[in-house]
Amino acid sequence: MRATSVVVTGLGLLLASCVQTRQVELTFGDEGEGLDGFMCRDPAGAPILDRLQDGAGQMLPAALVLDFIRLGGLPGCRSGQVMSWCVDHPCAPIASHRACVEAQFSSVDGLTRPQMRASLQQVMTSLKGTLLTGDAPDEFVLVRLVGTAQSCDQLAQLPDGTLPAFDDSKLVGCVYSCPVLLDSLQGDLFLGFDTLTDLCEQGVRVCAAGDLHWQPIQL
Amino acid sequence: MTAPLMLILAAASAAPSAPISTDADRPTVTVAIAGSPAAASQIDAALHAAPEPVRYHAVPLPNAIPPPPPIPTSALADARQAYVRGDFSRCLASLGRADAATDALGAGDALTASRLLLWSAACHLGDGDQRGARDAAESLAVLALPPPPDVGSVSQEVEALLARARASARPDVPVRIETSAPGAELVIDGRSQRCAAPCTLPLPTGAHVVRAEADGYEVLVRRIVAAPPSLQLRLDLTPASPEVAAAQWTARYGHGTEPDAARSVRLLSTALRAPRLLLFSVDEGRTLRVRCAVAVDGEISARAERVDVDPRQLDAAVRGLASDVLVRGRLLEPAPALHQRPEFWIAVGVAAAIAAGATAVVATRNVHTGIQF
Repeated sequence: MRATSVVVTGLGLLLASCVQTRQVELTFGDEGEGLDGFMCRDPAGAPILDRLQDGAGQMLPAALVLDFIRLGGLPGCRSGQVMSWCVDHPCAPIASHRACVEAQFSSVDGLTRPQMRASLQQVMTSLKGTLLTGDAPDEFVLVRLVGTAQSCDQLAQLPDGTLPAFDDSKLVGCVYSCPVLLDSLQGDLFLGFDTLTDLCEQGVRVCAAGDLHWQPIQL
Repeated sequence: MTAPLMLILAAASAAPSAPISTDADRPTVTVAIAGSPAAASQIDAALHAAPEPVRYHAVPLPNAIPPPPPIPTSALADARQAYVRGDFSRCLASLGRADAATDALGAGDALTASRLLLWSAACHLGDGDQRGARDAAESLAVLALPPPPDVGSVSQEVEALLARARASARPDVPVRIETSAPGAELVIDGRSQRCAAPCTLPLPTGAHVVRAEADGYEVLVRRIVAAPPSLQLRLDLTPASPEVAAAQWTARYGHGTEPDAARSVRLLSTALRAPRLLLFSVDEGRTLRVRCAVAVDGEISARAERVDVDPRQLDAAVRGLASDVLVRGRLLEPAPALHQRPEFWIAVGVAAAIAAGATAVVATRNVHTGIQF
Protein backbone atom coordinates (compact mmCIF):
# COMPACT_ATOMS: atom_id res chain seq x y z
CA MET A 1 0.00 0.00 0.00
CA ARG A 2 2.82 2.36 0.86
CA ALA A 3 4.52 1.79 -2.48
CA THR A 4 1.25 2.36 -4.30
CA SER A 5 0.73 5.62 -2.46
CA VAL A 6 4.21 6.75 -3.35
CA VAL A 7 3.67 5.92 -7.02
CA VAL A 8 0.30 7.65 -7.17
CA THR A 9 1.68 10.71 -5.40
CA GLY A 10 4.65 10.75 -7.72
CA LEU A 11 2.47 10.61 -10.80
CA GLY A 12 0.28 13.35 -9.40
CA LEU A 13 3.28 15.55 -8.80
CA LEU A 14 4.55 14.72 -12.26
CA LEU A 15 1.27 15.75 -13.85
CA ALA A 16 1.04 18.86 -11.74
CA SER A 17 4.56 19.83 -12.61
CA CYS A 18 3.76 19.60 -16.31
CA VAL A 19 1.29 22.49 -16.34
CA GLN A 20 3.31 25.38 -17.68
CA THR A 21 2.14 28.97 -17.48
CA ARG A 22 3.78 31.54 -19.70
CA GLN A 23 3.10 35.07 -20.82
CA VAL A 24 3.38 36.54 -24.28
CA GLU A 25 3.46 40.29 -24.69
CA LEU A 26 2.03 42.06 -27.67
CA THR A 27 4.38 44.53 -29.25
CA PHE A 28 4.03 47.06 -32.06
CA GLY A 29 7.74 47.55 -32.56
CA ASP A 30 10.21 49.80 -30.81
CA GLU A 31 9.12 52.79 -32.87
CA GLY A 32 5.46 51.86 -33.05
CA GLU A 33 5.91 50.78 -36.66
CA GLY A 34 3.26 48.12 -36.21
CA LEU A 35 0.59 50.72 -35.54
CA ASP A 36 0.02 51.64 -39.21
CA GLY A 37 -3.32 49.90 -39.02
CA PHE A 38 -4.51 52.57 -36.58
CA MET A 39 -3.26 55.43 -38.76
CA CYS A 40 -5.40 54.80 -41.79
CA ARG A 41 -7.56 57.43 -43.36
CA ASP A 42 -10.85 57.00 -45.14
CA PRO A 43 -11.20 57.84 -48.84
CA ALA A 44 -12.00 61.40 -47.80
CA GLY A 45 -8.65 61.65 -46.03
CA ALA A 46 -10.02 61.72 -42.47
CA PRO A 47 -8.21 59.59 -39.90
CA ILE A 48 -10.48 56.72 -39.04
CA LEU A 49 -9.31 57.05 -35.43
CA ASP A 50 -11.37 60.24 -35.22
CA ARG A 51 -14.48 58.09 -35.48
CA LEU A 52 -14.08 57.96 -31.69
CA GLN A 53 -15.08 61.63 -31.43
CA ASP A 54 -18.60 62.32 -30.32
CA GLY A 55 -20.62 65.21 -31.59
CA ALA A 56 -18.92 67.53 -29.16
CA GLY A 57 -15.49 66.60 -30.35
CA GLN A 58 -14.70 64.49 -27.28
CA MET A 59 -12.83 61.24 -27.80
CA LEU A 60 -14.84 58.26 -26.59
CA PRO A 61 -13.03 55.15 -25.34
CA ALA A 62 -12.22 52.66 -28.03
CA ALA A 63 -12.67 48.91 -27.69
CA LEU A 64 -9.56 46.94 -28.54
CA VAL A 65 -10.79 43.48 -29.51
CA LEU A 66 -8.33 40.64 -29.49
CA ASP A 67 -9.22 37.68 -31.67
CA PHE A 68 -7.43 34.46 -32.50
CA ILE A 69 -8.07 33.58 -36.14
CA ARG A 70 -8.06 29.83 -36.58
CA LEU A 71 -5.92 28.96 -39.59
CA GLY A 72 -5.98 25.19 -39.51
CA GLY A 73 -2.36 25.13 -40.62
CA LEU A 74 0.63 27.31 -41.16
CA PRO A 75 0.47 29.65 -44.12
CA GLY A 76 3.06 32.29 -44.97
CA CYS A 77 3.06 35.64 -43.24
CA ARG A 78 2.49 38.01 -46.10
CA SER A 79 -1.04 39.28 -46.71
CA GLY A 80 -1.31 37.53 -50.04
CA GLN A 81 -0.20 34.27 -48.53
CA VAL A 82 -2.75 34.52 -45.75
CA MET A 83 -5.52 35.40 -48.18
CA SER A 84 -4.62 32.52 -50.42
CA TRP A 85 -4.60 30.14 -47.46
CA CYS A 86 -7.98 31.34 -46.30
CA VAL A 87 -9.60 30.50 -49.64
CA ASP A 88 -10.02 26.95 -48.50
CA HIS A 89 -9.57 27.29 -44.74
CA PRO A 90 -12.01 28.76 -42.24
CA CYS A 91 -9.80 31.62 -41.06
CA ALA A 92 -12.52 32.70 -38.60
CA PRO A 93 -12.05 34.03 -35.06
CA ILE A 94 -12.38 31.48 -32.28
CA ALA A 95 -15.44 32.78 -30.52
CA SER A 96 -14.63 31.49 -27.08
CA HIS A 97 -11.27 33.22 -26.99
CA ARG A 98 -12.29 36.78 -27.85
CA ALA A 99 -10.97 39.36 -25.40
CA CYS A 100 -11.65 43.04 -25.22
CA VAL A 101 -10.26 46.03 -23.32
CA GLU A 102 -11.01 49.69 -23.54
CA ALA A 103 -8.43 52.25 -24.45
CA GLN A 104 -8.59 55.98 -24.40
CA PHE A 105 -7.08 57.53 -27.53
CA SER A 106 -6.43 61.20 -28.14
CA SER A 107 -7.57 63.00 -31.23
CA VAL A 108 -5.05 62.82 -34.01
CA ASP A 109 -6.60 65.57 -36.00
CA GLY A 110 -3.90 67.84 -37.32
CA LEU A 111 -1.01 65.69 -36.18
CA THR A 112 1.77 64.71 -38.47
CA ARG A 113 2.24 60.99 -39.09
CA PRO A 114 5.17 60.70 -36.63
CA GLN A 115 3.17 62.60 -34.05
CA MET A 116 0.18 60.34 -34.66
CA ARG A 117 2.37 57.23 -34.26
CA ALA A 118 3.85 58.62 -31.04
CA SER A 119 0.40 59.33 -29.67
CA LEU A 120 -0.79 55.85 -30.50
CA GLN A 121 2.31 54.29 -29.04
CA GLN A 122 1.82 56.20 -25.84
CA VAL A 123 -1.70 54.82 -25.52
CA MET A 124 -0.53 51.28 -26.17
CA THR A 125 2.30 51.68 -23.71
CA SER A 126 -0.19 52.81 -21.09
CA LEU A 127 -1.89 49.47 -21.50
CA LYS A 128 1.30 47.53 -20.84
CA GLY A 129 0.69 44.68 -18.43
CA THR A 130 -3.03 44.50 -19.17
CA LEU A 131 -3.92 40.84 -19.44
CA LEU A 132 -6.12 40.03 -22.42
CA THR A 133 -6.38 36.27 -21.93
CA GLY A 134 -4.82 33.73 -19.60
CA ASP A 135 -5.02 30.77 -21.91
CA ALA A 136 -4.56 31.35 -25.59
CA PRO A 137 -5.52 28.53 -28.00
CA ASP A 138 -2.84 25.95 -28.64
CA GLU A 139 -3.01 25.84 -32.42
CA PHE A 140 -1.85 27.82 -35.40
CA VAL A 141 -3.59 31.16 -35.25
CA LEU A 142 -3.29 34.63 -36.48
CA VAL A 143 -3.64 37.12 -33.61
CA ARG A 144 -5.64 40.16 -34.53
CA LEU A 145 -6.32 43.35 -32.59
CA VAL A 146 -9.20 45.44 -33.90
CA GLY A 147 -9.93 48.94 -32.69
CA THR A 148 -13.54 50.09 -32.89
CA ALA A 149 -15.84 52.76 -31.58
CA GLN A 150 -18.21 50.01 -30.57
CA SER A 151 -18.24 48.93 -26.98
CA CYS A 152 -16.82 45.68 -25.66
CA ASP A 153 -20.29 44.62 -24.62
CA GLN A 154 -21.57 44.97 -28.13
CA LEU A 155 -18.85 42.73 -29.43
CA ALA A 156 -18.95 40.00 -26.83
CA GLN A 157 -19.76 36.43 -27.79
CA LEU A 158 -23.46 35.96 -28.46
CA PRO A 159 -25.59 33.41 -26.61
CA ASP A 160 -25.61 31.23 -29.70
CA GLY A 161 -21.84 31.02 -29.55
CA THR A 162 -21.19 33.27 -32.53
CA LEU A 163 -19.44 36.59 -32.61
CA PRO A 164 -21.12 39.80 -33.71
CA ALA A 165 -19.60 41.37 -36.77
CA PHE A 166 -17.76 44.64 -36.51
CA ASP A 167 -19.50 47.72 -37.73
CA ASP A 168 -17.24 48.78 -40.57
CA SER A 169 -18.17 52.38 -40.08
CA LYS A 170 -16.88 52.32 -36.54
CA LEU A 171 -13.57 50.64 -37.16
CA VAL A 172 -10.64 52.73 -35.97
CA GLY A 173 -7.76 50.36 -36.63
CA CYS A 174 -6.60 46.83 -37.07
CA VAL A 175 -3.31 45.02 -36.66
CA TYR A 176 -2.41 41.35 -36.83
CA SER A 177 0.42 38.93 -36.35
CA CYS A 178 2.06 36.37 -38.53
CA PRO A 179 0.65 32.84 -38.20
CA VAL A 180 1.89 31.58 -34.86
CA LEU A 181 1.65 28.67 -32.39
CA LEU A 182 1.43 30.62 -29.18
CA ASP A 183 2.27 27.79 -26.76
CA SER A 184 5.59 27.43 -28.54
CA LEU A 185 6.30 31.09 -29.15
CA GLN A 186 9.59 32.42 -27.92
CA GLY A 187 9.62 36.15 -27.15
CA ASP A 188 7.04 38.83 -27.79
CA LEU A 189 4.37 38.75 -30.46
CA PHE A 190 4.62 41.54 -33.06
CA LEU A 191 1.41 42.96 -34.43
CA GLY A 192 1.43 45.11 -37.54
CA PHE A 193 -0.44 46.09 -40.68
CA ASP A 194 0.78 45.89 -44.26
CA THR A 195 0.06 49.09 -46.15
CA LEU A 196 2.02 51.51 -48.27
CA THR A 197 -0.45 54.37 -48.05
CA ASP A 198 -2.51 56.26 -45.53
CA LEU A 199 -5.65 55.47 -47.47
CA CYS A 200 -5.96 52.03 -46.01
CA GLU A 201 -9.41 52.01 -44.50
CA GLN A 202 -10.37 49.24 -46.90
CA GLY A 203 -7.50 47.18 -45.57
CA VAL A 204 -8.75 47.72 -42.06
CA ARG A 205 -12.14 46.41 -43.12
CA VAL A 206 -10.59 43.34 -44.61
CA CYS A 207 -8.49 42.85 -41.49
CA ALA A 208 -11.52 43.12 -39.23
CA ALA A 209 -13.72 40.92 -41.39
CA GLY A 210 -14.83 37.63 -39.99
CA ASP A 211 -13.28 35.45 -42.61
CA LEU A 212 -10.23 37.26 -43.91
CA HIS A 213 -11.32 36.73 -47.47
CA TRP A 214 -10.49 39.00 -50.31
CA GLN A 215 -12.98 41.75 -50.48
CA PRO A 216 -13.30 43.85 -53.64
CA ILE A 217 -13.45 47.57 -53.00
CA GLN A 218 -16.92 48.99 -52.60
CA LEU A 219 -17.18 51.90 -55.01
CA MET B 1 13.28 6.36 -16.32
CA THR B 2 15.11 5.05 -13.31
CA ALA B 3 11.99 3.70 -11.64
CA PRO B 4 10.99 1.31 -14.47
CA LEU B 5 14.56 0.00 -14.62
CA MET B 6 14.60 -0.65 -10.89
CA LEU B 7 11.24 -2.34 -11.22
CA ILE B 8 12.70 -4.79 -13.75
CA LEU B 9 15.80 -5.45 -11.68
CA ALA B 10 13.74 -6.01 -8.55
CA ALA B 11 11.56 -8.52 -10.34
CA ALA B 12 14.62 -10.30 -11.66
CA SER B 13 16.38 -10.51 -8.33
CA ALA B 14 13.27 -11.60 -6.46
CA ALA B 15 12.58 -14.55 -8.70
CA PRO B 16 13.26 -17.68 -6.66
CA SER B 17 14.60 -20.99 -7.81
CA ALA B 18 11.93 -23.55 -8.46
CA PRO B 19 11.86 -27.04 -7.01
CA ILE B 20 12.07 -29.93 -9.42
CA SER B 21 9.24 -31.62 -7.64
CA THR B 22 5.80 -30.54 -8.66
CA ASP B 23 4.40 -31.47 -5.27
CA ALA B 24 2.60 -28.74 -3.54
CA ASP B 25 4.54 -29.43 -0.38
CA ARG B 26 8.01 -28.12 -0.19
CA PRO B 27 10.64 -30.85 -0.09
CA THR B 28 12.46 -31.26 3.17
CA VAL B 29 16.22 -31.02 3.33
CA THR B 30 17.93 -32.20 6.48
CA VAL B 31 20.61 -29.83 7.69
CA ALA B 32 23.57 -30.87 9.84
CA ILE B 33 26.13 -28.39 11.01
CA ALA B 34 29.67 -29.14 12.15
CA GLY B 35 30.87 -26.13 14.07
CA SER B 36 30.47 -24.26 17.31
CA PRO B 37 26.99 -24.04 18.82
CA ALA B 38 26.92 -20.31 18.10
CA ALA B 39 27.77 -20.81 14.44
CA ALA B 40 25.27 -23.65 14.19
CA SER B 41 22.56 -21.48 15.65
CA GLN B 42 23.37 -18.64 13.27
CA ILE B 43 23.37 -20.95 10.25
CA ASP B 44 20.08 -22.48 11.31
CA ALA B 45 18.48 -19.05 11.61
CA ALA B 46 19.90 -17.93 8.27
CA LEU B 47 18.52 -20.97 6.48
CA HIS B 48 15.09 -20.55 7.95
CA ALA B 49 15.06 -17.00 6.63
CA ALA B 50 16.21 -18.12 3.17
CA PRO B 51 13.71 -17.86 0.31
CA GLU B 52 14.42 -21.27 -1.21
CA PRO B 53 11.28 -23.33 -1.82
CA VAL B 54 12.51 -26.12 0.42
CA ARG B 55 11.97 -26.80 4.08
CA TYR B 56 15.12 -27.00 6.14
CA HIS B 57 15.12 -29.40 9.04
CA ALA B 58 18.13 -28.95 11.27
CA VAL B 59 19.30 -31.92 13.32
CA PRO B 60 22.29 -32.31 15.65
CA LEU B 61 25.24 -34.37 14.58
CA PRO B 62 25.49 -37.84 16.12
CA ASN B 63 27.58 -37.90 19.25
CA ALA B 64 27.13 -41.33 20.85
CA ILE B 65 29.54 -44.22 20.96
CA PRO B 66 28.00 -47.41 22.31
CA PRO B 67 29.79 -48.87 25.31
CA PRO B 68 32.09 -51.83 24.58
CA PRO B 69 30.74 -55.26 25.33
CA PRO B 70 31.24 -56.14 28.98
CA ILE B 71 34.32 -58.15 29.75
CA PRO B 72 33.32 -61.25 31.69
CA THR B 73 35.96 -60.65 34.35
CA SER B 74 33.67 -61.76 37.20
CA ALA B 75 32.83 -64.95 35.32
CA LEU B 76 36.49 -65.67 34.87
CA ALA B 77 37.14 -64.98 38.56
CA ASP B 78 34.27 -67.32 39.52
CA ALA B 79 35.63 -70.00 37.19
CA ARG B 80 39.08 -69.62 38.69
CA GLN B 81 37.79 -69.87 42.26
CA ALA B 82 35.66 -72.91 41.36
CA TYR B 83 38.70 -74.51 39.72
CA VAL B 84 40.78 -73.88 42.83
CA ARG B 85 38.07 -75.46 44.96
CA GLY B 86 37.90 -78.39 42.56
CA ASP B 87 34.34 -77.62 41.59
CA PHE B 88 34.86 -78.10 37.88
CA SER B 89 31.21 -78.24 36.96
CA ARG B 90 30.69 -74.82 38.47
CA CYS B 91 33.87 -73.72 36.79
CA LEU B 92 32.47 -74.69 33.40
CA ALA B 93 29.12 -73.15 34.26
CA SER B 94 30.80 -69.88 35.17
CA LEU B 95 32.50 -69.71 31.78
CA GLY B 96 29.09 -69.69 30.09
CA ARG B 97 28.57 -70.44 26.46
CA ALA B 98 31.13 -72.39 24.52
CA ASP B 99 31.51 -69.60 21.96
CA ALA B 100 32.16 -66.89 24.53
CA ALA B 101 35.74 -66.80 23.33
CA THR B 102 34.50 -66.21 19.80
CA ASP B 103 32.45 -63.28 21.05
CA ALA B 104 35.46 -61.85 22.84
CA LEU B 105 37.59 -62.12 19.72
CA GLY B 106 34.82 -60.60 17.69
CA ALA B 107 34.92 -57.66 20.06
CA GLY B 108 38.69 -57.49 19.62
CA ASP B 109 39.44 -58.66 23.16
CA ALA B 110 42.14 -61.27 22.62
CA LEU B 111 43.18 -61.38 26.26
CA THR B 112 39.71 -62.31 27.49
CA ALA B 113 39.38 -64.87 24.72
CA SER B 114 42.71 -66.35 25.77
CA ARG B 115 41.68 -66.52 29.42
CA LEU B 116 38.30 -68.08 28.55
CA LEU B 117 39.98 -70.80 26.51
CA LEU B 118 42.63 -71.39 29.18
CA TRP B 119 40.08 -71.90 31.95
CA SER B 120 37.85 -73.91 29.62
CA ALA B 121 40.73 -76.31 28.99
CA ALA B 122 41.58 -76.44 32.67
CA CYS B 123 37.99 -77.00 33.88
CA HIS B 124 37.25 -79.60 31.18
CA LEU B 125 40.40 -81.45 32.08
CA GLY B 126 39.57 -81.30 35.78
CA ASP B 127 36.07 -82.51 35.00
CA GLY B 128 37.52 -85.46 33.15
CA ASP B 129 36.42 -84.22 29.73
CA GLN B 130 39.58 -84.87 27.78
CA ARG B 131 38.02 -83.98 24.43
CA GLY B 132 36.63 -80.68 25.67
CA ALA B 133 40.00 -79.84 27.21
CA ARG B 134 41.81 -80.76 24.02
CA ASP B 135 39.45 -78.68 21.88
CA ALA B 136 39.97 -75.62 24.10
CA ALA B 137 43.74 -76.06 24.07
CA GLU B 138 43.63 -76.61 20.32
CA SER B 139 41.66 -73.41 19.83
CA LEU B 140 44.17 -71.50 21.96
CA ALA B 141 46.99 -72.83 19.84
CA VAL B 142 45.27 -72.33 16.46
CA LEU B 143 44.29 -68.78 17.31
CA ALA B 144 47.90 -68.18 18.38
CA LEU B 145 46.67 -66.17 21.30
CA PRO B 146 49.33 -65.16 23.80
CA PRO B 147 49.21 -67.15 27.06
CA PRO B 148 47.29 -65.19 29.68
CA PRO B 149 48.86 -64.26 33.03
CA ASP B 150 46.65 -66.83 34.83
CA VAL B 151 48.45 -69.67 33.08
CA GLY B 152 50.51 -70.06 36.24
CA SER B 153 47.36 -70.90 38.22
CA VAL B 154 46.51 -74.06 36.33
CA SER B 155 47.84 -77.54 36.93
CA GLN B 156 50.88 -78.96 35.22
CA GLU B 157 48.60 -81.31 33.32
CA VAL B 158 46.89 -78.35 31.79
CA GLU B 159 50.18 -76.73 30.95
CA ALA B 160 51.30 -79.93 29.32
CA LEU B 161 48.08 -80.09 27.34
CA LEU B 162 48.60 -76.55 26.12
CA ALA B 163 52.19 -77.26 25.21
CA ARG B 164 51.20 -80.32 23.20
CA ALA B 165 48.58 -78.39 21.39
CA ARG B 166 51.01 -75.63 20.50
CA ALA B 167 53.52 -78.16 19.30
CA SER B 168 51.12 -79.91 16.95
CA ALA B 169 51.78 -79.30 13.28
CA ARG B 170 49.04 -77.33 11.53
CA PRO B 171 49.58 -76.62 7.88
CA ASP B 172 48.44 -73.22 6.66
CA VAL B 173 45.32 -73.13 4.58
CA PRO B 174 44.79 -70.30 2.07
CA VAL B 175 41.56 -68.63 2.99
CA ARG B 176 39.89 -66.17 0.59
CA ILE B 177 37.24 -63.97 2.06
CA GLU B 178 34.85 -61.79 0.12
CA THR B 179 32.21 -59.53 1.48
CA SER B 180 29.03 -57.97 0.14
CA ALA B 181 30.37 -54.58 1.20
CA PRO B 182 33.33 -53.70 -1.00
CA GLY B 183 36.41 -52.77 0.97
CA ALA B 184 35.18 -54.10 4.27
CA GLU B 185 37.92 -54.44 6.85
CA LEU B 186 38.63 -57.98 8.00
CA VAL B 187 40.10 -58.73 11.42
CA ILE B 188 41.24 -62.32 11.92
CA ASP B 189 41.35 -63.78 15.41
CA GLY B 190 41.42 -60.34 17.00
CA ARG B 191 44.88 -59.56 15.67
CA SER B 192 45.95 -56.04 14.94
CA GLN B 193 46.74 -56.85 11.30
CA ARG B 194 43.81 -56.25 9.01
CA CYS B 195 43.02 -56.71 5.37
CA ALA B 196 40.45 -55.21 3.07
CA ALA B 197 38.04 -57.58 1.40
CA PRO B 198 38.38 -59.34 -0.82
CA CYS B 199 41.63 -60.74 0.51
CA THR B 200 43.37 -64.09 0.75
CA LEU B 201 45.54 -64.98 3.69
CA PRO B 202 47.07 -68.17 5.08
CA LEU B 203 45.56 -69.41 8.32
CA PRO B 204 46.57 -72.44 10.37
CA THR B 205 44.24 -75.36 10.02
CA GLY B 206 41.48 -75.06 12.57
CA ALA B 207 38.80 -72.70 13.80
CA HIS B 208 39.22 -68.95 13.49
CA VAL B 209 37.16 -65.88 14.12
CA VAL B 210 36.62 -63.33 11.36
CA ARG B 211 35.28 -59.91 12.09
CA ALA B 212 34.08 -57.86 9.09
CA GLU B 213 33.23 -54.24 9.41
CA ALA B 214 32.41 -51.49 6.92
CA ASP B 215 30.91 -48.02 7.05
CA GLY B 216 27.17 -48.29 6.86
CA TYR B 217 27.02 -51.97 7.69
CA GLU B 218 26.46 -53.94 10.82
CA VAL B 219 29.59 -55.62 12.20
CA LEU B 220 29.65 -59.33 11.33
CA VAL B 221 31.55 -61.86 13.45
CA ARG B 222 31.81 -65.33 11.99
CA ARG B 223 33.58 -68.45 13.26
CA ILE B 224 35.22 -70.29 10.39
CA VAL B 225 37.10 -73.53 10.13
CA ALA B 226 40.13 -73.54 7.88
CA ALA B 227 40.68 -76.97 6.42
CA PRO B 228 43.03 -78.06 3.63
CA PRO B 229 43.35 -77.55 0.82
CA SER B 230 41.72 -74.09 0.85
CA LEU B 231 38.73 -72.17 1.97
CA GLN B 232 36.64 -69.59 0.19
CA LEU B 233 33.82 -67.81 1.83
CA ARG B 234 31.63 -64.79 1.32
CA LEU B 235 30.30 -62.70 4.12
CA ASP B 236 27.04 -60.88 3.56
CA LEU B 237 26.92 -57.76 5.67
CA THR B 238 23.64 -56.24 6.71
CA PRO B 239 23.13 -52.50 6.11
CA ALA B 240 23.55 -50.67 9.37
CA SER B 241 20.67 -49.26 11.33
CA PRO B 242 20.70 -45.48 11.84
CA GLU B 243 21.84 -46.04 15.41
CA VAL B 244 24.79 -48.15 14.33
CA ALA B 245 25.62 -45.70 11.56
CA ALA B 246 25.50 -42.88 14.09
CA ALA B 247 27.94 -44.73 16.33
CA GLN B 248 30.23 -45.47 13.39
CA TRP B 249 30.15 -41.84 12.26
CA THR B 250 30.87 -40.58 15.75
CA ALA B 251 33.78 -42.95 16.17
CA ARG B 252 35.35 -42.34 12.77
CA TYR B 253 34.47 -38.81 11.71
CA GLY B 254 32.90 -37.11 14.70
CA HIS B 255 36.13 -35.53 15.83
CA GLY B 256 37.84 -35.29 12.48
CA THR B 257 38.49 -32.20 10.42
CA GLU B 258 36.83 -33.44 7.27
CA PRO B 259 33.25 -34.24 8.17
CA ASP B 260 32.23 -33.56 4.58
CA ALA B 261 34.31 -36.43 3.20
CA ALA B 262 32.32 -38.72 0.94
CA ARG B 263 32.30 -41.66 3.36
CA SER B 264 31.43 -39.41 6.26
CA VAL B 265 28.49 -37.88 4.43
CA ARG B 266 27.26 -41.27 3.27
CA LEU B 267 27.34 -42.59 6.82
CA LEU B 268 25.77 -39.42 8.15
CA SER B 269 22.89 -39.68 5.72
CA THR B 270 22.09 -43.10 7.13
CA ALA B 271 22.62 -42.03 10.72
CA LEU B 272 20.33 -39.03 10.35
CA ARG B 273 17.78 -40.85 8.19
CA ALA B 274 18.31 -38.05 5.66
CA PRO B 275 17.76 -38.85 1.98
CA ARG B 276 18.51 -35.19 1.26
CA LEU B 277 21.28 -33.92 3.47
CA LEU B 278 22.88 -30.50 3.60
CA LEU B 279 26.05 -30.55 5.65
CA PHE B 280 27.73 -27.34 6.75
CA SER B 281 31.23 -27.28 8.22
CA VAL B 282 32.51 -24.11 9.80
CA ASP B 283 36.19 -23.61 10.60
CA GLU B 284 36.34 -20.69 12.95
CA GLY B 285 39.12 -18.19 13.25
CA ARG B 286 39.45 -14.48 12.74
CA THR B 287 37.46 -15.13 9.60
CA LEU B 288 35.41 -18.17 8.81
CA ARG B 289 35.81 -20.94 6.32
CA VAL B 290 32.40 -22.34 5.50
CA ARG B 291 31.97 -25.52 3.52
CA CYS B 292 28.76 -27.01 2.34
CA ALA B 293 27.94 -30.33 0.74
CA VAL B 294 24.63 -31.71 -0.37
CA ALA B 295 24.02 -35.44 -0.56
CA VAL B 296 21.13 -37.24 -2.14
CA ASP B 297 20.63 -40.79 -0.89
CA GLY B 298 24.04 -40.67 0.72
CA GLU B 299 25.96 -39.61 -2.38
CA ILE B 300 27.42 -36.14 -2.51
CA SER B 301 26.03 -34.31 -5.50
CA ALA B 302 27.53 -30.87 -4.97
CA ARG B 303 30.00 -29.03 -2.79
CA ALA B 304 30.80 -25.40 -2.29
CA GLU B 305 33.04 -23.39 -0.03
CA ARG B 306 33.46 -19.80 1.09
CA VAL B 307 36.67 -18.64 2.67
CA ASP B 308 37.53 -15.48 4.58
CA VAL B 309 33.93 -15.00 5.56
CA ASP B 310 33.36 -12.14 7.92
CA PRO B 311 31.44 -13.57 10.89
CA ARG B 312 28.96 -10.74 10.49
CA GLN B 313 28.33 -11.85 6.92
CA LEU B 314 27.81 -15.49 7.78
CA ASP B 315 24.06 -15.34 7.06
CA ALA B 316 24.56 -14.21 3.50
CA ALA B 317 27.35 -16.71 2.92
CA VAL B 318 25.22 -19.56 4.23
CA ARG B 319 22.24 -18.63 2.08
CA GLY B 320 24.48 -18.30 -0.96
CA LEU B 321 26.13 -21.65 -0.32
CA ALA B 322 22.83 -23.42 0.27
CA SER B 323 21.26 -22.01 -2.86
CA ASP B 324 24.38 -22.85 -4.86
CA VAL B 325 24.65 -26.49 -3.82
CA LEU B 326 20.92 -27.12 -3.97
CA VAL B 327 20.86 -25.96 -7.57
CA ARG B 328 24.03 -27.77 -8.57
CA GLY B 329 22.89 -30.83 -6.66
CA ARG B 330 19.70 -30.82 -8.74
CA LEU B 331 17.48 -30.43 -5.73
CA LEU B 332 16.41 -27.07 -7.10
CA GLU B 333 16.11 -26.00 -10.67
CA PRO B 334 18.33 -23.07 -11.55
CA ALA B 335 16.56 -19.78 -11.73
CA PRO B 336 15.23 -19.29 -15.26
CA ALA B 337 16.82 -16.72 -17.51
CA LEU B 338 15.54 -13.20 -17.09
CA HIS B 339 13.44 -13.26 -20.23
CA GLN B 340 11.84 -16.56 -19.19
CA ARG B 341 10.32 -15.17 -16.03
CA PRO B 342 6.74 -13.90 -16.08
CA GLU B 343 7.72 -11.28 -13.53
CA PHE B 344 10.19 -9.85 -16.02
CA TRP B 345 7.57 -9.34 -18.69
CA ILE B 346 5.14 -7.95 -16.17
CA ALA B 347 7.80 -5.51 -15.08
CA VAL B 348 8.59 -4.69 -18.71
CA GLY B 349 4.91 -4.05 -19.35
CA VAL B 350 4.57 -1.84 -16.32
CA ALA B 351 7.76 -0.01 -17.20
CA ALA B 352 6.58 0.48 -20.77
CA ALA B 353 3.25 1.76 -19.54
CA ILE B 354 4.96 4.18 -17.19
CA ALA B 355 7.32 5.30 -19.92
CA ALA B 356 4.45 5.74 -22.35
CA GLY B 357 2.51 7.65 -19.75
CA ALA B 358 5.45 9.87 -18.98
CA THR B 359 6.03 10.46 -22.68
CA ALA B 360 2.38 11.28 -23.19
CA VAL B 361 2.44 13.65 -20.25
CA VAL B 362 5.51 15.38 -21.58
CA ALA B 363 4.21 15.44 -25.14
CA THR B 364 0.79 16.71 -24.22
CA ARG B 365 1.76 18.81 -21.28
CA ASN B 366 -0.65 21.55 -20.58
CA VAL B 367 0.75 24.95 -21.49
CA HIS B 368 -1.20 28.00 -20.54
CA THR B 369 -0.13 30.99 -22.60
CA GLY B 370 -1.32 34.34 -21.43
CA ILE B 371 -1.49 37.29 -23.83
CA GLN B 372 -0.92 40.77 -22.52
CA PHE B 373 0.06 44.21 -23.73
